[in-house]
Amino acid sequence: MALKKLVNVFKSDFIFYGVVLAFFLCAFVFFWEKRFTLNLILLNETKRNEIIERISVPFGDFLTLLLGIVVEALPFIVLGVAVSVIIQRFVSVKLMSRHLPKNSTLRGFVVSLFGIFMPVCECGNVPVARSLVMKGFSARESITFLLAAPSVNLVTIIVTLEAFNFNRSVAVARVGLTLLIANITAYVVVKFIHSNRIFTKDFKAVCDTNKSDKHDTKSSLSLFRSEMWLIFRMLVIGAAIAAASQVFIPREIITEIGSNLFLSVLAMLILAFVISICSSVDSFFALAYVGTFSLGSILTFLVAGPMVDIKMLALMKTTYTARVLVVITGCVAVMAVIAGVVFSYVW
Amino acid sequence: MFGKSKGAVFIITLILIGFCIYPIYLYVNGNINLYIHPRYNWFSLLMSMIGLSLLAAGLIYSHGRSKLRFRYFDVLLVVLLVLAFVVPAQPLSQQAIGKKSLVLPSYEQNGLDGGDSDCPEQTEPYTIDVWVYVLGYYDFDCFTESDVNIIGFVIDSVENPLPDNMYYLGRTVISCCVIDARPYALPVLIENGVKYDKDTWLRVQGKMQRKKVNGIEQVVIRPLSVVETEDSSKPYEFYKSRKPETINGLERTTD
Repeated sequence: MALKKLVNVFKSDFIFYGVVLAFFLCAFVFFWEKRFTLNLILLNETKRNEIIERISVPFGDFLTLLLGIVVEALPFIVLGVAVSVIIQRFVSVKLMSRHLPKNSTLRGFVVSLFGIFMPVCECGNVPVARSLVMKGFSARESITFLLAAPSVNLVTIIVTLEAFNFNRSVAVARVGLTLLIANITAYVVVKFIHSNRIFTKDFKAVCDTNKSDKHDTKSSLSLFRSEMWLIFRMLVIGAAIAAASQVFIPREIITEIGSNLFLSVLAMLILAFVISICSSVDSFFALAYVGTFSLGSILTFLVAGPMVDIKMLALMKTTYTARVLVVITGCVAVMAVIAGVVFSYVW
Repeated sequence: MFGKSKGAVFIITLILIGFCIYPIYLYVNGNINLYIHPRYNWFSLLMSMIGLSLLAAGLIYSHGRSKLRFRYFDVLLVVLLVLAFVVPAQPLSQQAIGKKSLVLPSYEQNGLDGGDSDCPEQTEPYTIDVWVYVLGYYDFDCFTESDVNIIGFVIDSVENPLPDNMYYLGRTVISCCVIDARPYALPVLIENGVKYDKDTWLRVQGKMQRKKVNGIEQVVIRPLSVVETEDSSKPYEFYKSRKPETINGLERTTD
């Protein structure tokens, strides 16, 4: 009973965010006015310097990593949101539907190939997937697009081919597996989750408003601002978690298990989830693990990372319910691990 | 906090504008590459300006009542924005870099052993470029007995421990943004029994050799001169993804 009361207290926006804010402000004051603050508490200079070092260095690293992700992802988000507004304003669903197959599976597959023309990383594809739904595309189609686009775009394909020029089949397997997993996952989501429970209430409200809105310049500018805000604040949450996990989780925990075939696949899956690196450059990152980890586990990293890393899940939360995110993460993880183990034996 | 009001829209737009100005501010101050790879500089600037223009236009022409809400959580975005502008941009600490797995140029990884006779012609001692750039594109034997002049910091590795007569010299390399920063390292032989503390910056001049380290063929440096030096003015090196036409055309400064 008491626990329930405590949970309710912390559910209150004011107290919860107040505590978080207070923590950040204290950290800030500590970081800047550290000598002044600590002089009040401690007299031993050696101990004082030791504590300053222990706190200020990780906090500085956390801030550097957080801002690094924000600065890197911001242009992709601006591009993605701008494209989504253009789709809202100028693309006719009727015209597109006329050229798409009638069969839902085939149609989903064709939509998953749309990403070829979207040369942006995963962050930029979330607003585009939202705009596809707003324009009348189904949940299944938006999910296939969202999961496939980061890996099937031309930039990612070229970079993967270049990075793995000693074994080009890695790039081919990456694209093929991504398309397969994206389509199967989207099928599983719509098969097992009721259509009313796929999208968040907020997103449904946005879709309803959007249908009644006039599509003039003013409303497009307003839509750009709303979408930017929604995506950006989620990016910051995802980036903060990714940065904190890099600073506070020892890397050895993940990489020490690289010698075992199955565990190395799992390790690369966890690494992909935590590291939240852009799909267009993750090949070069993964390249560093060739030799330590099996090629199959590196394939798991390349396939699963752009679909379900921390940053991406935070962004997807703007549109899909937690239930959908759990199913997507589960499906992608299971299929990516199976593929990683199988390819470890093949290569 | 502000609920759905004109005030909320105004504040939200200002926050987004602030974050769009930040990459431009970093670029003007010469600090943007403490966060991202230089190949993204122009794209980042261009998209920041586009975002800034669209948000400013929205503020002027479409500043009506909106469904946007400014919640308590969003105060953290304001705090982050203030921190971004107030706290000086800084590279990752060596403490953070030291936690990451080393990238070691081994012959097994190279895959060109004995196959590629197209070796570059050396006219000056190789600098850091060879280490992070060229080494991956040529047969390692091309570099045997080559002169090197490299600056780096002493780094250890739990995953790849070295015998007592060697230590790792490392440099931090970025392929996308600071989140993927990794230490590239080369083993250096210890001459005259002199050992150096972790994180000490050194300038090592010597020759490259092929040597078995822990059962793996690796490129190692046999030093002729080791001098302690100040921290390098360049905290990061940046991964270049294309095979160079000529090594002579590369930067050959003393780092």
